[in-house]
Amino acid sequence: MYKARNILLVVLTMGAILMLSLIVGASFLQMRDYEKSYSYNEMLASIERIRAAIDSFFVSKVAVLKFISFNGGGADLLQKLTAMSSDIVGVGAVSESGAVNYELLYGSSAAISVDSEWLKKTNAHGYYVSDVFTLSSGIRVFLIGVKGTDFLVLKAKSLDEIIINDKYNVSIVNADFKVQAPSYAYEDNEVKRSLEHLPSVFPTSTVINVTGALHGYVRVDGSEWIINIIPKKGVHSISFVESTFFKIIVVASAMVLLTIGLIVWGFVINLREADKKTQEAVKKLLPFSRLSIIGRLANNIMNELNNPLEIINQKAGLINDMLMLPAADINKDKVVFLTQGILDNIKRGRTIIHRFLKFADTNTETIEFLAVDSVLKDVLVFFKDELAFRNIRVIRKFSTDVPTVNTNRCKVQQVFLNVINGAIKFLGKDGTMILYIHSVKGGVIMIEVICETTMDKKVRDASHYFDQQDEKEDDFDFYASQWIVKSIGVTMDYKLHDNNKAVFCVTIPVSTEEDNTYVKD
Amino acid sequence: MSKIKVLIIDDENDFASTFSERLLMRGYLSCAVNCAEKAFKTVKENAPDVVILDLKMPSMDGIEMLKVLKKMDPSIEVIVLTGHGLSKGKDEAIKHGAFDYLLKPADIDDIIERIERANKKRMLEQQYLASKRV
Repeated sequence: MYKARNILLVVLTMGAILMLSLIVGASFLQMRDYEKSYSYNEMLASIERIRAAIDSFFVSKVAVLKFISFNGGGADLLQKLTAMSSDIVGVGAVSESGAVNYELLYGSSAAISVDSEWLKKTNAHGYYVSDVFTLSSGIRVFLIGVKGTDFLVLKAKSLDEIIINDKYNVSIVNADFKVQAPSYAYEDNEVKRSLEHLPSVFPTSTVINVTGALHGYVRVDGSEWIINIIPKKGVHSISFVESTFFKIIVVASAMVLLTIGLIVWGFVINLREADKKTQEAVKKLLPFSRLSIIGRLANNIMNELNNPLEIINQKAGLINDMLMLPAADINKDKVVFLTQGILDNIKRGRTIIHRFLKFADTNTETIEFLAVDSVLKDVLVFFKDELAFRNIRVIRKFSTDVPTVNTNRCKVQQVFLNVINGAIKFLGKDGTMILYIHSVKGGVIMIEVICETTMDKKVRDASHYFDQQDEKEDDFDFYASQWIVKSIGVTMDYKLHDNNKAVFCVTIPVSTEEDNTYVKD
Repeated sequence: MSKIKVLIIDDENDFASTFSERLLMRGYLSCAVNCAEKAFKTVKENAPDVVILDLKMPSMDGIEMLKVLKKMDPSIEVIVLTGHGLSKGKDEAIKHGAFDYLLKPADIDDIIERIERANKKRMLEQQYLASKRV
């Protein structure tokens, strides 16, 4: 019973964790979508705003800007631009000769590497290079405007790899502003695209995700300037969100597990205490059970014992009566006959007493080899008068090949007493009790008590005798038997058929190791 | 004065026959039977004054037999003599018209005293009924 509860607890815990994981997972995905959408929109709005400012700026000052850029004045240009919009953090320019000027507000220009060689090569191939990053891993990421319109994000150690080896990792920033596979960020190396087959869908501005950080780029129409925007406030990158959510999941799961663990632990402690109390109660209960059975049987036994006593009484009385007669009238043979009758009935009484004492003796419990049929016969003797009185016919069908059982006689006897007693209760009056004993596979002996009443008589259902929840006084013996059978590996079962037939079934393993956890007298 | 007729009904043959013999020695007309059929037959053919009845017998419950006997002849006095000591059995026997209830083993003098008292009661009742008829 407790094992089943523990299994249930584990199943519930697993279910709770699964549910929690599903909820957290679903929340995470929802949150990520929201975050993505929010970040991109924010970035795009920012880009548009800046683009408008830049356009306006260029219209009036394009000549100045060109001058500044060609003279290495990126810093001045950046300063002017940042005065217009606080969102601008960097300005990059590519000259016709391939020289790159790049300025960042944050002073992280060390992370940017300019390679005049590849710039020349890309220009020679008609590509427009806007930016290059050197990742912490040493791999460069190139941002190239393809034929002056579309942007590519390329990843390579050198430009030659991009141009010459068309199987190289190439990411295209598509019309939905998402970096298509394969890309560094998504670790997808399955799809390889050739530069010759690139779509021309890229708008003049976009937001891309490079190594987990968002960048906004704006092409300036009619100009070689490309505005690179990195939000000052910082956009929560997906990787950050992912890692935060991962931490939340881990912490939440740990907390849930800890809580469930504490609850289960509490349960286990309660169950152990309950089990301990039950065992103590059962220890107390079993002797009472035995006393109850003894008390119930005592009446039958008294009747059985009173009969030989009464016979002895009458025969002795008759001898006494005869001895009062004149000596000549005393029939010596008759006296001898009466005396023999007295001795026979003393023997009969002694047998009854011994049998009863053997059952009642609670201090002689030992494991021994038992012939189950013999034990059942002994038990039936206790009910002889009861069965006759109730007009219950007993048919014994004991198989001859039943092996002996190594178990506790006293407990087996008590189980049989309870079953026969229950069967008598079930039948009430007028019926047949068929007793089967036979061996079944797996070293088990089966004892079946089949009770049948006449067809027209509805019988009493004895199911509740086997229900531990239903502790009626009347069912005390069966309730106690549940514990007795448990301690010696015996099982008890009951089935009702067609309202006029019941089968009480007891199985005993041929060899048992007594578990005295539950039963100690 | 005619002898009191006593019928002993008990499935323990040894007891019934020995007890019957002792009653005979004491001047009673006693007869022992061990089953319901024989008992009813005897009552029909030669109605006893007093019946000594065991409560627990195979084939028929003593209380059931008591009811039938009383129905056959209400004047028959029945003394229950049984090995069962439950007060429930005694109450039921008295309720269904038993004169008295004795536990085995019983002293013969006690049983004879009950027989005499039962017979006396029976005679008084018969006299009363006779006077009423006159």
